[in-house]
Amino acid sequence: MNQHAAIAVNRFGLGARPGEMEVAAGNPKRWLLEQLEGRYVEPTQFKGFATTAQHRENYSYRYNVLGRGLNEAQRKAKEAGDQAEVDRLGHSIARMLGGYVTWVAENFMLEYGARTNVAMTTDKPFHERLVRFWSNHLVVPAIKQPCGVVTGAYEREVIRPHVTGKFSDMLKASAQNPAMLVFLDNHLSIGPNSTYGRAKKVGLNENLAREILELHTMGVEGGYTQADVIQLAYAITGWSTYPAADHAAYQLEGRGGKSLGSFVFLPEWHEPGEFTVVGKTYKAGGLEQGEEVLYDLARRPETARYLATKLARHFVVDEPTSALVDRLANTYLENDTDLTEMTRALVDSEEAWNNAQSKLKLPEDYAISCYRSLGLTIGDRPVPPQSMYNFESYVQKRHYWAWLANDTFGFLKTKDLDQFTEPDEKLGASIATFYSDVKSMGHSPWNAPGPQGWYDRWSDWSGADSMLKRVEWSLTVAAKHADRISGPVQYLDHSLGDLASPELKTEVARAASAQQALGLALASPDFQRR
Amino acid sequence: MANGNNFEGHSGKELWSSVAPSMAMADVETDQRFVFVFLRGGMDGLQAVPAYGDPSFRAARGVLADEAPGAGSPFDILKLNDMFGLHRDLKAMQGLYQQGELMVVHATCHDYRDRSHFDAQDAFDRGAVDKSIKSGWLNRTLQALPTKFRNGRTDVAMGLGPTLPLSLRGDEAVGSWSPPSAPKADPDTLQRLAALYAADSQLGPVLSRGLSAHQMSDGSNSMPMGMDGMSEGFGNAVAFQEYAKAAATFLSKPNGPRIVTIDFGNWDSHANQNQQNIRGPNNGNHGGQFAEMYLGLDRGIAAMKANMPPEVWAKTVVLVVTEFGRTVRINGTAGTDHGTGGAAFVLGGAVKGGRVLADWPGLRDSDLLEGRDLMPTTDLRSVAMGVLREHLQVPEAAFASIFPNSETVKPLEGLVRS
Repeated sequence: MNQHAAIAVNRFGLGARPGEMEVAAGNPKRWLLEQLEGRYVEPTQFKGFATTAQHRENYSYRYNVLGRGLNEAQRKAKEAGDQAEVDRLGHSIARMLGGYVTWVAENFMLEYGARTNVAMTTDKPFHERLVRFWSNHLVVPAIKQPCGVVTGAYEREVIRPHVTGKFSDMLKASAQNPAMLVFLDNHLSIGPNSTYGRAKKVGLNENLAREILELHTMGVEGGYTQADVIQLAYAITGWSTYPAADHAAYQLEGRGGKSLGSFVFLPEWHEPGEFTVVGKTYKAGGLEQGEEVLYDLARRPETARYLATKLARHFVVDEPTSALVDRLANTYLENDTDLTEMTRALVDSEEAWNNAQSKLKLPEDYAISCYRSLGLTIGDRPVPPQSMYNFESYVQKRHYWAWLANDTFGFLKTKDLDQFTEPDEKLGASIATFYSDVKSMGHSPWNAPGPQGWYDRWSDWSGADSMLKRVEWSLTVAAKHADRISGPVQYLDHSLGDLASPELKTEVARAASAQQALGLALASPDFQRR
Repeated sequence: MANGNNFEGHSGKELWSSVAPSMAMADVETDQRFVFVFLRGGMDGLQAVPAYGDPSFRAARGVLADEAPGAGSPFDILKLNDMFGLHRDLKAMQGLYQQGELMVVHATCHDYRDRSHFDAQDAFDRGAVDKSIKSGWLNRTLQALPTKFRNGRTDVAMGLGPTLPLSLRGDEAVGSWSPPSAPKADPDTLQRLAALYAADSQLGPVLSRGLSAHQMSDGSNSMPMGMDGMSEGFGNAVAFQEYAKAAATFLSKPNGPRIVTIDFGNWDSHANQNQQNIRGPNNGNHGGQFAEMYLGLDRGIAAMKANMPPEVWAKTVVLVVTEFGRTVRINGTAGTDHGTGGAAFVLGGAVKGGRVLADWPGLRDSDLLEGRDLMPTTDLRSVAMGVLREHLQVPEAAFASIFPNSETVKPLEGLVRS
């Protein structure tokens, strides 16, 4: 074993699975760089999950076809004074939408489970960390409905294929994905002087344009102005998705027959004229006008430095030196925004291998690293005999488990989990419980507090309560899975390697039981850091 | 690596025993309490506190303008005075106003003038726009508090919620709490773990404080709420009520904290801000993700008062702020975009309330900041300073450190009952 192997699997990976430390020890740097090579192949765990377009179409069908049809029928029944029919239709609406909402929650959890199992089993954990990093950079939190249903698809379609490709491509894919368009309201942004804007007196929404400049590219200190925000917002008017829910888009005559779901450019919504963004003027045009702005923003030196700083902060140290940031930023610019090259420069830097254990693992990464060290997957997580729910009046019983994930306060009524007999229900409940556990540590996966994503400094994650929750949780893991380790000292060696402190080695060696030894290792400060 | 806490030299046993309640009791009768509630996302001040008496109000607000008080619709504004009202879901807060325990501050903002949520929140949390400052204004306030606040307690300040807000971060150690999620661990393992954490100068003090708060919470958690808290969209509003109750529990303890913070997120209302035809599970008056927000705020405030002994409530000031107001006119999507001037609330048994403090700038186009935002005329920092000065007896000399670059800002006077 050597310290570089331990740094490679902990700082750049997701913690060692059994045997991984030994593999990385041969050539730790090479072990990391190999994970960036080759064409991206989607992990098999994602097989069967819907695309963004399919999700959007389903949503549209429920709310805009079925929902509106039922509402209209109900209105007519009311006019006719048929109260029985009004009630019957009301019940149908509630069932249809209630069932959909529950399905959304269930789908979210199942896809979260698939993603988590990928992280727990992958032999390319560095690649997986990069997915998480970029997913947090161009983030779409699930909390803003209807983004919740497409969060997973967005990450599969926009982030995963591009973490070893060009940032420029990832940025464009993000800004043209229905999830991002809906999250930051651009699907409803209409040029006030466009054909449609003049006719309907509707207007601009600058939210996405602002966040592209502030959070996705140049950074809040990048030197752009409020005028740049507005100009970029004009340039991307008409970037939308069918149907632009709850909005005048429905009233667009002759639109009903078009396909639902994916990205669309609506020329009649696009603000005419040329626009100037960060000193460069873009001639009047259509879709390509906004695309050209994004192309140039991705290649700005401010963008390079902003991305380089975030990448170095995430993997190496809270406040990276400007020498390191410059090196990464220059590599990014010299290679036409290529992220593999920037990542390679990071791994090749001396700083990457210094300051061992100076970062705190994110709570989710911490929980995953505990499972990886024991060779577990999320399906193996036993469900505690507590916190069950009573949804009989709401939707079918078999869907209840999906709500467990957000049950922070135990709102859901206590019931015996034994009622779950179906294997998929048991698995679902264990996924939702894992999610809930991570959430209690202050980290809601796929649900960042806003478009800035999760913050990434030591002080953002070292709250007293969060630390207590980590410790308590890891002791419950040790209580369940101590039988998976053959010897405490060997376990420590293959999971933390040379990063285990002498104090921890001593305590683990003299623990009263395997369970206690495992608990001390998982809960220890050494395991919280990377 | 040091963070200002020196726990080296403590044995593991000592670290863990610091969790035990202290026997040195603070004076419950004279201790002031302060609650800082941050409504994150930019609450629409003209929806929370509509200026229905302004002649330009109805035209500017379009479909977001509710009916005037007494109009007899289900959407009537709750009257405060002839100019201002409260959003119809803020009934308990109207009651506090009528009892003289709530003051509204309107057309207010701190000194941040751009329109980024995250920068605006950070600026208020830091107490300064200057990003080179890394600690929070409440953390620096702790250094300036009279010593009586420290007597007999582990933590003077505590953040309620899974993550510590920036306002509380800094050199002074603070506590935090959220509802428990795992069964208690066995004491022997904890003892051994304590030794490992005692050796870590960064994480040792952090864990110690977590344990301390956990012990004090009295199980004020896990309150079954039936159907109310089911979906994520309403979760923020329900969680706020639970944290407000927990705040009452902590603040009522003789050795409990005297300053607590609560974050209440999800106020960003760009679209469909007021779908009167869609109801959340509590029958609140907003649709979609914005459902239940005002109801949650109102019920949380009511629950905080109800869960405190009257003598504690009498010593309490709650400051409710948001990072900025929103555009005065509605946008193209029946919502409002990021703006500047907005509304804040100062409430509690110690507050000299029953009034609206506003140097009203007006709502005509020419009155607005950059033609779009409510012009801020009261600096929110002067409100915070007034609370610190009169209620927590923070010396004025400390404001240079708590709110850097605030030389021209003076603490508001007369906020607290004498």
